[in-house]
Amino acid sequence: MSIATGEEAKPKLVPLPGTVGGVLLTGRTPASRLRPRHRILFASFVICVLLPAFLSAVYYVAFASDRYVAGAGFAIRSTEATGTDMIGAITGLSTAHSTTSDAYILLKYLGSRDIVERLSQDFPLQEHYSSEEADWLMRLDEGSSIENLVNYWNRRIHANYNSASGIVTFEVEAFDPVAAERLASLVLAYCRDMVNHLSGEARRDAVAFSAAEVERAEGRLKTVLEAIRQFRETEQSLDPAGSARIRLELVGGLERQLADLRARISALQASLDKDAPSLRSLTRQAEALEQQIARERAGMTAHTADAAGSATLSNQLAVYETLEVERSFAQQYYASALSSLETARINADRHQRYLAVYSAPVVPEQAAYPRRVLNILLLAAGLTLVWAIGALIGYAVRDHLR
Amino acid sequence: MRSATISDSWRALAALQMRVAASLILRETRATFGTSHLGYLWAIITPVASIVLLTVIFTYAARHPPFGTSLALFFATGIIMLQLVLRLAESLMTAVEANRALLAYPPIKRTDVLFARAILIVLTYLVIAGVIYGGLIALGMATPPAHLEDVLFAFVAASLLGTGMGLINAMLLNRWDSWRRIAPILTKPLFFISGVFFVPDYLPPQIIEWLQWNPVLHAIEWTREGYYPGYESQVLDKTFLLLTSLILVFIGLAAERLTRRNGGL
Repeated sequence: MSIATGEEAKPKLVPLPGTVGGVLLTGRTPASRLRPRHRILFASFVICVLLPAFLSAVYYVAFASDRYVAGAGFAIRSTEATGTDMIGAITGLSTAHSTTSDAYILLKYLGSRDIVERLSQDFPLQEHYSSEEADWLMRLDEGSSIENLVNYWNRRIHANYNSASGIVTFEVEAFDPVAAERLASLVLAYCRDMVNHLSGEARRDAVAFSAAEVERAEGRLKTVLEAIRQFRETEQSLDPAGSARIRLELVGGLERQLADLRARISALQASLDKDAPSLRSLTRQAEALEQQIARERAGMTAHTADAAGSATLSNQLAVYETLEVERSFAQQYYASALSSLETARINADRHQRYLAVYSAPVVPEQAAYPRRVLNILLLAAGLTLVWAIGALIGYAVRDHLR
Repeated sequence: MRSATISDSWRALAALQMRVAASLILRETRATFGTSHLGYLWAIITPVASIVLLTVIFTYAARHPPFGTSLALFFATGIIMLQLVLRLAESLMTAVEANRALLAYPPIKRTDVLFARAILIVLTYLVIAGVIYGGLIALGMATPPAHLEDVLFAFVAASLLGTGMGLINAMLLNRWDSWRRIAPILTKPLFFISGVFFVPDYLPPQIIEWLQWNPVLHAIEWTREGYYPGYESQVLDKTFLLLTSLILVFIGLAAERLTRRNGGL
């Protein structure tokens, strides 16, 4: 408005070159010379602002079909750390990072091709959006590709995530109230499935590693026990350490007997004749004992194998002790693997996430879109602005006539 | 007959405007760095260097990018937009007084020097953006933009915004000489509140509530949404950005026309 008045104030400064001769200039008033320019201005205003605004008003009032909205709000909660976190309680900062990323995953999922494809199976999505209920501007082309459907779906669903409260809200538009509610309920159900799926996946992942560890430990323990069993079978000895002890005791007993004999022999040698029969028999006994002791010793340590084909006792003992050590390691390993599996399972249970729905979809009574008055006014305002800037630039160019 | 003459005269006018604008742009490129060998190249080298320096500093200060894999790219998408707006706002402010001598020639109007500067700066920053993005891509620190059209739209919107701010600045300076000192103070915080080095979506809603009134933030968000394949801004409101820019341009142009008779020229 102000522009026009500003221009009117100085009409004499801006004659159009070569428009009209001096005839008009002398004959008519300056006002009539202004006309063509103002007519252009007015025409441009009509074409750029009034006409589109009028057309949009006609469309919104007469044609635009109502769009009903149904939505839901929920938070993704984790079973852990609900109010127990001291720092979180004091600072008011949310600590659940895992649920934050879950919320972003859900936001992406809401606009994804997956959800559109799944919706199409449970609801005649394409048919509804391209039905007669929708006006021609908002309608989805019949038989459009999945990509177009996904694009269209993204304009019909509005999702939002509040990072401070951790609340996800979404709204679905449809051309009748029942369909809106149905769509929103389906979408909510899919969201729940998605969260359960994510949670289950995470749980499986967390436990799977520990379970594999337990399996490995079990295998190792089994191999060791099998090796011990085989050793016992081939060596015919349940406990080589025990039999070694027994053998040592045996040798010890024999040596004690030998020492006794020798003591008696030396006692008898003082009183009896060297060839006395009792002395001779004692000496033979002592010799026999010595041989026996030597044999026993050899059986324990010598490298020769006896008739049964089994190794000597010291060898047996060496193998057996290695196996024993291996078994005790394997047992410890198995026990710790079991306990870590248990911890992992408990942790995973604690990290389990679920959907806490605080507002479920309901059948809307009133259409939320289109916002007719607001849209018409916004369009008119925007067009006026663009037109005014255009006019100002036009005038700036025109100033060069001065 | 008459309409033919009118359209002829408009064509002649448009041609005249083009010539004036073109010669003013040329003069501007010569005058700014007249004595230097590299000439106007400095206008590209200086901002590129300052952006690179800031990026390096932030790379060492922040270490991991708020979004994506490249901090340099994240920072570049923000700082280029911000610098474009700030440069337009600041240099349009002094355009009129810098060219006061030229305004003595009748064919040259205030709007001409303003438009010429605006066009020159926008073109310069187009080159700067090309150099920086191209450099990042060549160095393997960025991938080409996912939606080039969005990046360009954001660039256009930011150009409009900066032009609007610059026009208003010029008019305010014309009326009130102290504005020269006040404008930079008012635009300084933009570096911190425009999301140059953070993702607005990750901030608490109480802060977003205030930040979303900053149009530069929207220009940056728009750029990022265009550049990154997976960037979805919940703050971004393109309508707000465009409306604000257009309103500012309109106010600036209207003020230019209204202040003209009050001794502006």
